[in-house]
Amino acid sequence: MPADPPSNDPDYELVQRAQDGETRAFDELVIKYSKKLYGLVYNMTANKEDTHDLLQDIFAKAYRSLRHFRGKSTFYTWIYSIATNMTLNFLKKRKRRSGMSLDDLDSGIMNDPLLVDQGHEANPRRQSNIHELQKKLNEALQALSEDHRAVVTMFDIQGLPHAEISAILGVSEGTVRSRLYYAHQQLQGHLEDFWRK
Amino acid sequence: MSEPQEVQNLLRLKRYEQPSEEYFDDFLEEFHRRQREDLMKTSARSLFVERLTVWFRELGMAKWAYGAGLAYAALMVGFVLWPKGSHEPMAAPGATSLPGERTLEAVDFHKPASGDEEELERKEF
Repeated sequence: MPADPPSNDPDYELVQRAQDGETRAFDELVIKYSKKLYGLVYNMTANKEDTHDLLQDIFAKAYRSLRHFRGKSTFYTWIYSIATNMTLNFLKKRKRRSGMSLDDLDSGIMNDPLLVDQGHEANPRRQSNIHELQKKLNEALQALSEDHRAVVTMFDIQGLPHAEISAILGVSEGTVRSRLYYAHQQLQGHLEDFWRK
Repeated sequence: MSEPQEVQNLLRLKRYEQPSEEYFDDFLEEFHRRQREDLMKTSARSLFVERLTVWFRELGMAKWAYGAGLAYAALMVGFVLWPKGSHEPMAAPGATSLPGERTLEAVDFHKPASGDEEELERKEF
């Protein structure tokens, strides 16, 4: 059954075409959201291989469940909810399976063009500081609980508004704000030694 | 710049941690490949059931006649094949009684054993 008429969903037409069986329409949705969802999943798992596999599973699940999508939320919120739930479940399983070492996690920020200033590549001291900051930041993020990491990823890294995060996670905006506040305190505490230097 | 703001600025930079464009092209191709594999994995049985369901659905009103016929046929087959209860003792295949050997007599379970009959009569109210 196709989605109900949208109020403000920019993906309504694509979703409707995909629900009618047009695979190209779903491809367009994959192209549109794979980058955003990659950012979400990668910053929560901190592992490229896991991110890749999870992202494939997320789109496969969305494809299978698309006929149940009634348009009560935007497609964006719907697919973000699927991605968040699947990632949180994956992280719980990973934690149970083995205590993953921080060494197994990527420090992708090392290749960040904005953080790694090319003009200072020759300055070993600065490079060393940047690498240390990257490591500390990733460690601090991974030290947060999955729920706190999820809100930090969506708000600070991806720039989603509180209301959107609340709809995705199915919690109140107050809960989102309090999780963010707590997470920021934790991150700051973790990086305190670095600021003092 | 305050420390919390500094943390938020650092986090904001992480949004640029993205793989190359080629990665996303390959990602879509792999998605298609996985979809095809999933389709292939669908068992022949589920396909058969699905086709049967579709065929049955498309029959319209005739499906009720077919359904009733099938149910009747299943009932008759069950009736014919159901093992009938027999009062005759079953002899083991190939078992023959030797001369002078005592064989068990057929026992009528409906008939109370002698002595029990009187007891039953006494017990009746």
